[in-house]
Amino acid sequence: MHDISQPIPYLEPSKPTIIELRDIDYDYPGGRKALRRISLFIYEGDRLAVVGKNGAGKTTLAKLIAGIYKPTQGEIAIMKSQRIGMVLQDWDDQLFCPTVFEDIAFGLLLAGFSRREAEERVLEWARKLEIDEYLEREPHRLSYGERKRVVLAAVLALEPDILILDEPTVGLDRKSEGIIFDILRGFRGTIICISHDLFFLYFLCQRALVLKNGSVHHDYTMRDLVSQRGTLREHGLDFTFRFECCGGSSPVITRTKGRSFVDQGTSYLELYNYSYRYPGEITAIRNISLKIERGERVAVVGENGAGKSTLALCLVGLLKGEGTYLLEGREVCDRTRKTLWRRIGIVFQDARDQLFTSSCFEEVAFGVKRMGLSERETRERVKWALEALRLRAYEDKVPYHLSGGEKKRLALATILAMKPDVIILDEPTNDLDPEGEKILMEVLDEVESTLIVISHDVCFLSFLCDRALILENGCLKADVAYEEFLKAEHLSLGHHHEQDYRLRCCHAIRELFYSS
Amino acid sequence: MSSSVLRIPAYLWLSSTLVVFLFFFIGFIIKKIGRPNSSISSFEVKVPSIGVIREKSFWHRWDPRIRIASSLLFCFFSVSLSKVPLLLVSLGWSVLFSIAVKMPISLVARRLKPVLIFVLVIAILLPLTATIEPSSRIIIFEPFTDWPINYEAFIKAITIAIKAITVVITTTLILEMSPYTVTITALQKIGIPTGLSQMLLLTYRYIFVVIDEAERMARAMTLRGFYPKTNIETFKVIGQFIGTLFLRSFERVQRITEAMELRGYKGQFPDFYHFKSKPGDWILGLLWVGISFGLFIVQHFFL
Repeated sequence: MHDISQPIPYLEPSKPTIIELRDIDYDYPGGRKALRRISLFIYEGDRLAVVGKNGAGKTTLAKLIAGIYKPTQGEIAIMKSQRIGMVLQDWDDQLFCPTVFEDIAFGLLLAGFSRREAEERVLEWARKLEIDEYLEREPHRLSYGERKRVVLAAVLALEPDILILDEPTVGLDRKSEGIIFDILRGFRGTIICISHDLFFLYFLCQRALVLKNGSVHHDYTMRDLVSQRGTLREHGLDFTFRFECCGGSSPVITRTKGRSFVDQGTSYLELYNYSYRYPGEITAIRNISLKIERGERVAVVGENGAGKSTLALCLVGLLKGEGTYLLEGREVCDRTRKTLWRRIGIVFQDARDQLFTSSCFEEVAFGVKRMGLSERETRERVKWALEALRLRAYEDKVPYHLSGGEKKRLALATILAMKPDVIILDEPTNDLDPEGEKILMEVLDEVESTLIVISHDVCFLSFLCDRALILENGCLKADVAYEEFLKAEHLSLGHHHEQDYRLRCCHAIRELFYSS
Repeated sequence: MSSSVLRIPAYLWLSSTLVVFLFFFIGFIIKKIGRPNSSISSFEVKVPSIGVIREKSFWHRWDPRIRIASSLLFCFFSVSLSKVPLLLVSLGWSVLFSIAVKMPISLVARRLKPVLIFVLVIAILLPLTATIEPSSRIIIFEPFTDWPINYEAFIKAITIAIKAITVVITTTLILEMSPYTVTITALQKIGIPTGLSQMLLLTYRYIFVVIDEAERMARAMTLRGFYPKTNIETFKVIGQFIGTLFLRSFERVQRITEAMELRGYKGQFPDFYHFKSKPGDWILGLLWVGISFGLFIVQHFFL
């Protein structure tokens, strides 16, 4: 094994080169350097993982290869016969037609396929990705996972030779992840995959390209990458903390494990037969009864569309359902609902929803100011929250210019600074690199507030939560200890397929890691 | 004194008003029963369905190009009518057609709601504000003999109401008898510019995404204690909110363009639908236009 600071080109003389990048530079409009002196060979059938910290230039490189951007300097040579398909990070923007069928057929018809051929291909790929029953539906009516599958079908129907994927697993439930994973494993062409999910990459790719500040730092095998902690750490990719939950034989010990939350008198939050129905008769949650004690750490799991986010919005008082909602034993009425924001904070799935001011300091101070605290205390709290999330140096930066992971941390800081009794986090690990995940985990582990974490990341949850609420079709299917949730096959909602390959990856990587 | 007086007995106008009131009251009750328990709507149901009548009847197989063109001509001739009986015939025809294509009453009611509010205002204001000359015909709603209403203005208000309702029902038919893309493609085939049709398609797809984005941001602000007031602070925050929303929308446009180009877009949407007209389509189209044109002729040459 080797660990290098200067990249040695990855060579596969037995395979034909299909893409060659020669001394590529790319500057954003305004002159900011995104990529510098990138030279790279991509071979036929390559499974290339592109990794690096948030803002390292991964997506820009992918867009250059796909032809969306033109290099400022240098040359990209792509073998003529190669067709490139790219799936961008924000999947919603790739569904621009009024129906799923039209979205998949869009590229086919423009590529010159007859209507009949296009229809056959649409049906074929829709069946493979299990979206054939949604063909006449409008894309915005589908769940997140279903939309991702539609985008993949639209790209794969064009039968590209090179498939570029940008964060394919973010926000996916296990069913969708399983389907996408199987399709990608069966793909015969070249795959270039950008992701922070190293387990997924380890299973899919054989080669890793590590970017840092717009340059290639390493270009070697995936095995080389995952077996060297120093490299992983240097690039914010150290995911080895996950060995404890995915590879360890004993359960993760959380900070609150063993602490008794019962018999404290009145529970902090209580719901009795609580239901919420959206306009148009769609019942999002039904007859949910639960109690959450002060300081408890609860995971909320379930497939996309199970009602997890709706439950969170009911708890913060944005949605008013039917049933009884008690906070510290008192019923939440319309008047108290308006003041719930002081006691219950929520970090939304898309961090961009929470950021709108002109500086990070102002952003974090926004909520604190409205709590009526003195200026001194506001300043102290803001500094503390920024410090905790490793964002102290970003005080004057414009939130909108931060990378995805930094935005996520800033969104959490805005809530942390308000020191609410309960913090609800909706998919907190989306957009975070492993280093960001670790920081988040450490920060959350330190807070005394009650935590309610909605996530598909079973491993991340196991570090924080002692209890799992499993939602299915809007109903509370089970309310169990987190360990029990992991063990009980009937509760795991399709996590086993995912657990299987992640566990296998984890075991393999651990062996590699410790043998090196 | 006026030249002629039309007296409407109390039992007649009261019972008519009661029927209308009951109709709306029942509608309100039905809506209330089915109403969710929050003022915050979901993205899922906020997006209006366009093209909801998807039956495969004779009417639905009607070539959309001819259907749209003839319906537009029907609207044109209908609004040029001024005699109440003729207007009632054109309204009756569009209602009959709606029944034939099994258009849901709730859908028509939803489309009519904003128009009816406007019509109601006109119907009240126009007769009451019209001056009454000695030669004017007047209407008296008994027992309010002291409040005469100008007959011409009253008829004018009724004419406007019937025209508005006819046009709304007909345009609902145009929009709802086929999926949105089919309607826009058909419009493109009958002459609206390609750029405009593509804009309509993308607007329909993304306007609700942007609204949803704005709503999510507003929620996040509420959850950090922001309640708008009339002060400088509120204006500043709203300015930042709008600026961010604009930036996000601008970036979204860029991403959508990139995604479209990746799938081969070079300024032209593909033709998803191919239309082929048959003699039956033309006959039905001529019937539509013929009825309204016939009414137009009757008004101008026989009345």
